[in-house]
Amino acid sequence: MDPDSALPATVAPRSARWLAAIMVPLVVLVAGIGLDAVDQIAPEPLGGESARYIPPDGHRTVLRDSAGALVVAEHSRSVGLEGLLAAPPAVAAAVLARLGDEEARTAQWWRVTRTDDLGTTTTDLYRLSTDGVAQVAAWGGAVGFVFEPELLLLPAVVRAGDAWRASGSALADGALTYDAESTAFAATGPFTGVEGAEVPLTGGCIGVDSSVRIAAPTDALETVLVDATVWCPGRGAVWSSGTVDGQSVGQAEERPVAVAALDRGLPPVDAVAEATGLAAPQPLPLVVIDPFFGERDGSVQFALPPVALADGRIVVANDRGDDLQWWRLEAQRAELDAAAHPGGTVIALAAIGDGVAATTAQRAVVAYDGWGRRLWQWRGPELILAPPLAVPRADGPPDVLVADRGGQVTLLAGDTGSPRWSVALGADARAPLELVGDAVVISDERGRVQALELADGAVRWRVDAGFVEGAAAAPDGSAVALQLDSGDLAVLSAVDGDERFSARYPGIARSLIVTADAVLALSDERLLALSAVDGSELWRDRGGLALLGAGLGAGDPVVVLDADGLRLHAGRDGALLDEQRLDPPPVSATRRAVVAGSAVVIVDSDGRVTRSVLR
Amino acid sequence: MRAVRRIGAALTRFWSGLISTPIRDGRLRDTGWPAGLRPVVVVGVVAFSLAVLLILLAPAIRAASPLSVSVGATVLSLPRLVLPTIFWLIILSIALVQSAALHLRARTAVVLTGMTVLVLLFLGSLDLGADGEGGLGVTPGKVVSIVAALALVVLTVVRHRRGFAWWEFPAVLALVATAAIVALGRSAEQSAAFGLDFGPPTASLVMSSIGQLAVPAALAAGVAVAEFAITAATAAVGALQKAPTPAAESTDAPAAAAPPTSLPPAVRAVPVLLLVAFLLVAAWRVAELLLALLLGVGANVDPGDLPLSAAIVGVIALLWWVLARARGDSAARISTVMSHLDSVAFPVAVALTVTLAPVVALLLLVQVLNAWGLDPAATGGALVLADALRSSLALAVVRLGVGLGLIVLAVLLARRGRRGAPELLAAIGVLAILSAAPSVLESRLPWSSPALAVVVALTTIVLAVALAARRRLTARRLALLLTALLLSAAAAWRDVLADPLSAVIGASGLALVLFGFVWGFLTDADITHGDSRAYPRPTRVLLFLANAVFGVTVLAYGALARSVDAGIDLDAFAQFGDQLLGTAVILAAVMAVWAATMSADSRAPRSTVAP
Repeated sequence: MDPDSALPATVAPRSARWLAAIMVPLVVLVAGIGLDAVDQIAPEPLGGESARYIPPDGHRTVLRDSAGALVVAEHSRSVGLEGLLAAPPAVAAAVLARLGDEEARTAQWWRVTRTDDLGTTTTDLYRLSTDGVAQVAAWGGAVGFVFEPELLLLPAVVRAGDAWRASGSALADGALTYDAESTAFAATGPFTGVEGAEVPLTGGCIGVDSSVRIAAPTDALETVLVDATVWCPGRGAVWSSGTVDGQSVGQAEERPVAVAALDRGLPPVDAVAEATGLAAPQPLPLVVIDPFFGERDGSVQFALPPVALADGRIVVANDRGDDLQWWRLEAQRAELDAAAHPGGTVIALAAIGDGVAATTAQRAVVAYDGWGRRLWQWRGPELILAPPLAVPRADGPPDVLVADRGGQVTLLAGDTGSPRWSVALGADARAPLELVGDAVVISDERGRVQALELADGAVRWRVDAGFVEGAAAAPDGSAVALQLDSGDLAVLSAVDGDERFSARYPGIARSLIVTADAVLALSDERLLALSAVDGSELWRDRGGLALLGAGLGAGDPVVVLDADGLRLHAGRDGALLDEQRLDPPPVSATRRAVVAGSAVVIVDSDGRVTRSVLR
Repeated sequence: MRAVRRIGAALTRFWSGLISTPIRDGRLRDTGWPAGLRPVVVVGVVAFSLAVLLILLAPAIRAASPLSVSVGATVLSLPRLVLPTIFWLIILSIALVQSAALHLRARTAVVLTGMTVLVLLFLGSLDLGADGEGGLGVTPGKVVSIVAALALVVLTVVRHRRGFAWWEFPAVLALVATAAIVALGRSAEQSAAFGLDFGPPTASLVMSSIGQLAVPAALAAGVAVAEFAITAATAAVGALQKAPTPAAESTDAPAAAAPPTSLPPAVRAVPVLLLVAFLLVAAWRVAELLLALLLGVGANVDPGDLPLSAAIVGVIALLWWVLARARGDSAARISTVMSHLDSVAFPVAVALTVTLAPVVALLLLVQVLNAWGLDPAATGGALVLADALRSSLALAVVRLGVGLGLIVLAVLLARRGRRGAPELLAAIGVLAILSAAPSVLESRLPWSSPALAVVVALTTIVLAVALAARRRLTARRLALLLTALLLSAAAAWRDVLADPLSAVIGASGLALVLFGFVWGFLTDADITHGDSRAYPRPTRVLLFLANAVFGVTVLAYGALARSVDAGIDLDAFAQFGDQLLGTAVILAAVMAVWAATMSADSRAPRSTVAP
């Protein structure tokens, strides 16, 4: 050791002490500033003053058109290439070619998806730029458009009396052209809907009279749209009235708390009665069909476990665009049946009756019907990580039970999304909710497990069980099984929380199923089957990724998903009934599976979907 | 007024024994620091405090700011605005540990520098290239990370065995920060083009890769609650024992040292106080047991856990006797045992997690190689090895090995006349072997802390009755037995100490780790007061700060994500540390108290609280 290393501070050179006192904090500070400087924060919204008229991401607008039909619109805001991912390739390619790679990377997009009473969905894509707000493209309808240059709807600064015009191509290579003239006017109202209700004008709305002529140079086809549109801050276009080729059209915003669900009309798919085998896995290409632009491959990334609906469709959250997608599994491929944008990143999904409830990064629960129409949304204080739980009701659609990360448990009315009751756990919520008879069992980050009465949220019982990784209820609601992170497997009475029996499992907990006669726990190292009566071991097998119940009856077979295959085990003795190999997913992909009707559907997070039919 | 004064004095002593003295003796303080170390310590303390503040305010920060959410195998949500602060804290920790490595003995320096280099290369590998072409591209982030890593290696070679210099830390920090800023900046720029927020996934990747290095600190932190409970028990008894007479205060001797009748009235009251306290605590322990066994309320005592728990106590008592025989001397006192806790807990925690460092190195290496273009299939073997090192079997083997090794080491140390450390090591060894058993036997062993508490309490009461029957229950013995009873309560209820914190934070695991980190930061710095050629004092200080700041940063990340296992499940490791190390320490303390009670030793007794 150098002699100076142990020098007391008092004899050290004064200059060294001063230098250290200045330089050490300075370098620390500069490092902090540097890290902060390179951190990417959301860019300031473009579009000038007109950007204030554009609804935020995840906003829902309900409009009633002049024919009396209800149109539910969802708004998406995004930055960069992500904004083009939902567009048909022809649209995306045309826009990319025009903007160039560099500009497309920083482009700010606004996308509006409208679904009407008939389930017809159309989408308009707009760009916010220094010029203002302009329409880029439209798809989903009988005719699609790609505007070049973009069709300016609102200049960056717009005042009553301002006028502007634009013209160009409305489809690639000038197959269609457009010519538009617009004039702003003071939106003083009143503006009323088809039922006579006045649209509230809040925050300084502005009106735009416009005339758009779309023509095909090669023939005599021509369409003229003349209308007056009223824009209000944060709400978008709230009222419009005009004509299309002389026929009256128009729509006005309504503000219902909830929209009634529409029946999708697809028959339920029956589960296989007694599966004894698995059909060879069949890759299902994802196809999106656009009435105008045609078919295209679905480019998706599935971030969450898929959800199966009773009609055999699967619902997934597409990480590219944060959209919910309903996929219909056909004989040779999967077709996009509906899509929605709840806003922000989708965190959890659950089937609620015929519909779907999604929780989002905006701390919201958003409910949809089978057509992908948003019914209602509810915002809580924290993120909701666990999938919502459907609570059946005798007199209406199922209620939705959610527990946010902060430990607030709330029962939402299934038809309106309004809270029926809400209770605090007193700790962060941990594992998924589990319905056990007329109570819900939930665990928290203080190691407690409690059963809450569904009627009012009152605590029925509470035990210190430890940190729960997974929970499953017995089919008859008499008990609940808990997979603890300590490696213990505990089965508690649903009546008072008393422990009936416990066992050990090795490895990392993956799945838990309780059938009429057995508790089946899967970890990455072991599949363990215990008697539901006394906890005695029935059989064991190797571990896997996920355990899927083909049924919950005594002795019903179970399916184990591995990284490279599927196994079908007899529930009674664990005998291997069948086995199918799967191509292993890429290292970066997560593999999940769900039982949809009579098939096991394997969904890789990189967008691959494979089906193996139970037979 | 006299009664009030006495109560006041007792409370003051209790506070002193519980809080003031441990902090006064164990805090980080200038014990002849070289010039330039103090500003680094100030930076470290500020960073530690900032991280603690982030933990305490995490729910409020989340409520008040937008959350950035990424969904993958798990959901990660973070208040976006504080993410640069987390990266800053991580980089500070790396700079602290590498600054320490400059002056460590060669083999330790090689290990630490190797890990720093891997972390730098890993950060550089985040810069995949503007076109997303992947690993084959030579990108500025990768180049800068290599240059920084080489510079660190050169610096380490040049400065090895030289004295601490004030400019070393800023120089190391500048190198590490430059590499991180370039890599993170470019990675952010590339992600933003696709509308993606690089921050949370990158933070998650960094935390899941290097966060495991905080595990030994978390394990050691898990013992803090037990340590605090033991200190509380001994401090309480110490406060009760002492009479407010000048003589008693100056000699630090309990009143029982002299016959009660020869003392002033105030002192004569002390045995009565002790007796009343003993009876009250004994009644509480018995009532709790009866309520638990008969009505199933209160403590969670399963009668089936009692036999094995009694056997565990018996085995440790036997080992205690063996160690005393091996030493040819009497058993260790509780103060001696507790004085070795800080020097034993962290090395044992490192030994119990010995497979983690290779796992982290393998994971970093694989990611770096893949980013530089190596076929992922070629690194599959390394991942398999990493998985094997993390498997239940590997953990069980390590625990068994460490347990047996600790017992052997305890006997060897006892033969060399060491006192305190062997007893502690033996108790931990027994618990380490027990902790491996469930994985090996695939069955839960029927013992628990509440059951151990019952065994300790009942044994203590029986001991008291036996001594009273033989008219050997002196005030000193009574005080010791009261300590044992309070320790039994600590064994059963020590989790409660972290409850107020867990109510604030919302997660008991988080609270337990935070409590351990903060208490350790305040009281466990006595190791920095020493000096040696292999571990010079500035190096000790820097390592202490690096360990503390990194541990609490990983915890802050978990708290802000409102998921303690967002990076690495420190909570589970702290629980394990509490269960294994905490239980062992409490049992060792109980043994010391019982041994002192049973001894015919008539030395002038001292406080049972280690000063």
